[in-house]
Amino acid sequence: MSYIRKIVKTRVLIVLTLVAMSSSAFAEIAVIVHPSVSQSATVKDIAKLFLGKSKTLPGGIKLIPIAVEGSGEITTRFNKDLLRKEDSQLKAYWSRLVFTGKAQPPKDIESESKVLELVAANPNMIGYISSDLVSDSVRVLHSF
Amino acid sequence: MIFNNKGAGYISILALCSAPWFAEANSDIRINGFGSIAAGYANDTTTFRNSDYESLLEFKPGSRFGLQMTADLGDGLAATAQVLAKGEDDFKPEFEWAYLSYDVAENTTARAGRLRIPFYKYSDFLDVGYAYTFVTPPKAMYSLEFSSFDGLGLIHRFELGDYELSANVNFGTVDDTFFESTTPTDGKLENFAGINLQMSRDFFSAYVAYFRAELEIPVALIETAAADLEAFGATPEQASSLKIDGDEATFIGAGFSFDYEDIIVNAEYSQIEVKNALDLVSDEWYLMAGYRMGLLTPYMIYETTENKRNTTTASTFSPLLAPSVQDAYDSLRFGYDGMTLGVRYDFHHSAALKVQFTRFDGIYDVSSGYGSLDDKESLNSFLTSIDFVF
Repeated sequence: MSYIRKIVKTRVLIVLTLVAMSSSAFAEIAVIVHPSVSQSATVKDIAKLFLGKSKTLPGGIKLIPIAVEGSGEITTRFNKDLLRKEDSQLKAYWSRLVFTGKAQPPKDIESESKVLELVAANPNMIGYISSDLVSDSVRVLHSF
Repeated sequence: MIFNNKGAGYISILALCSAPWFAEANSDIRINGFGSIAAGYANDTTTFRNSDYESLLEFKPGSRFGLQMTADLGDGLAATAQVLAKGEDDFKPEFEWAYLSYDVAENTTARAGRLRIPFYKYSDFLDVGYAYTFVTPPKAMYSLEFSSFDGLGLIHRFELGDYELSANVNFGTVDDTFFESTTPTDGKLENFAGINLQMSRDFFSAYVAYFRAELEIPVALIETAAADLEAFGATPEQASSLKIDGDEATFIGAGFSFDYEDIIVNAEYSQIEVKNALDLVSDEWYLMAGYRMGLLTPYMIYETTENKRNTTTASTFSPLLAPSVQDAYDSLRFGYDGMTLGVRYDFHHSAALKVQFTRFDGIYDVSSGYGSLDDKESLNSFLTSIDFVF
C-alpha cells in the first residue's frame, strides 16, 4: 500500500514539475515601465511604440522602447504575439525604416534583468520581460 | 540611379568603415548596412534594356553594398549618410542619401540634403533587397534612371480615423546622367517638386504620388536632329518642340498593398510625360501576389509597360519635314510585358535567398532594334540573390 502511495506521490511530483516547467517555458510576458508612468495603454499603443510609429503614449509621455537581444524566445514571442510579425518580417520592416532614415529599431539589451534594471532607473523607457522577473521597481503596463 | 560626383564617396566610406568601434563608445551613432550578392542569366545575347544580364551567368550587375550612419545630435536633430557601392558601377562608392533631419514637431520631420525621390512604393529602399520579397522590383515600372535629388523634404504623419497617413513633400534639383542605357547625357531637373501621400490601416496600405520638374537634357542625337530640321526650314519653336530644353515633365503614380495573414498582394501604376519634347508618354503597372509559408514565400508578378504614339508634333511641321519627325517619334516606341515566378527563402535571421524566373514577351524597342511592333521579341531571364542586413 505504502509502495503504491509512494508511486502515486512520485507521479504527482513529476506532473507538478512538468506543469511548473511548462508554465515557466510559456511564462507570461510583461510590458514594463517606470513606476512614475501612470498612463494606461492598449496593445495597439504599445505596438506603435515598438514599431517606431509613435514616440509617445496617449497622454503625451515620451517613451523609448528597448528590446531583449538575440533571436531569444521572449523576443520572438513578443514580436509574434504583440507586434503580430514573424522575426524575418519584422527585420524587413525595420530595414525599410532604417535605410530611409525614418526610424531606428528598439535597442537590443543583452538580458531581461538588464531591461528590468534600465526601466526601473529611467522614467522614459519601456521594455518587456518574463512576468516572473517583475519586481516592485517597475510598473506592468500590460501582460499577455 | 547613378550619380557622378564620385569623389566624395571615397572619403566617406573610409570614415564609415572605421566607425564601428566608435559606435560602441558613443551610443548616439548607429551604423547599419545592407548588401546583395546577385547573379543572373538571360537566354539571348542581345541586351534588352530592362534586363541587366546577358547570356552568361553574371554576378556584377545586381550586386551591391551599402553602409548607413545616423548620428543623433540631440533635440530632434540627426545627420544621416548612406554610401552605396554597386557592381554595375564597378563598386565605386557613391552617396545615395546625405542629409540633416530635424523634428520640427512631434509628427513632422524636415530634411535637407541629398534625399531619395519617393516615386514608388519601394523607391526609398530600392537597393535594400532584404526589405522586399522579389529579387528586384519590376523594371517595367522601376526604370527611371535617377533616384535621388538634392533639396528639401518635409514628412508629416497624422491620423484620420483608423488610418495612419504620411505626407512626404519634396523640393529641389536633380543633376545626373540621363538615358544611361540608350543615349547617356548629363542633364538637370530644375524646380523639382512633388508629394507622396501614403495611408495605411492594419493590413492595407496605399499611396498616390505626383512630381513635376523642368527638364534640361541636351541629348546629342536630338540636338543634332533639331539643328538639321532648322537648316531645312523648321522654325526655332518647332526645333525646340523636340529638344528637352526646360520642358515640363510630370510623374503620376499610385499603388496599394494588402498583407493579410500570409497573403501579400501588391500593385503599382505610373505615368510619365515630358511635354513639348521628343519623348513619348508611357504607362506602366504591375501586380504581384505572394504567399508566406513560414520561411518560404513563393510569388508571381505580372508587369507591363507601353508608350503611346505621338502624331501631333509631326503634324505641326511642313509636309517636307513631317515624315522625318514622325520617324523620330516612332523610333521611341517601346513596350513589353513580363511574367515572373519566384521564391524568397528566409534561411537566416538577417539574410534571404531569392530565385526568380521571368518570361518577357511582346518586346518592341524600336530605337535599339530589339523587336518591332510587327515582330516582337521574347526573352527568358533568371535571377538569384542573397540579400542581407546588418
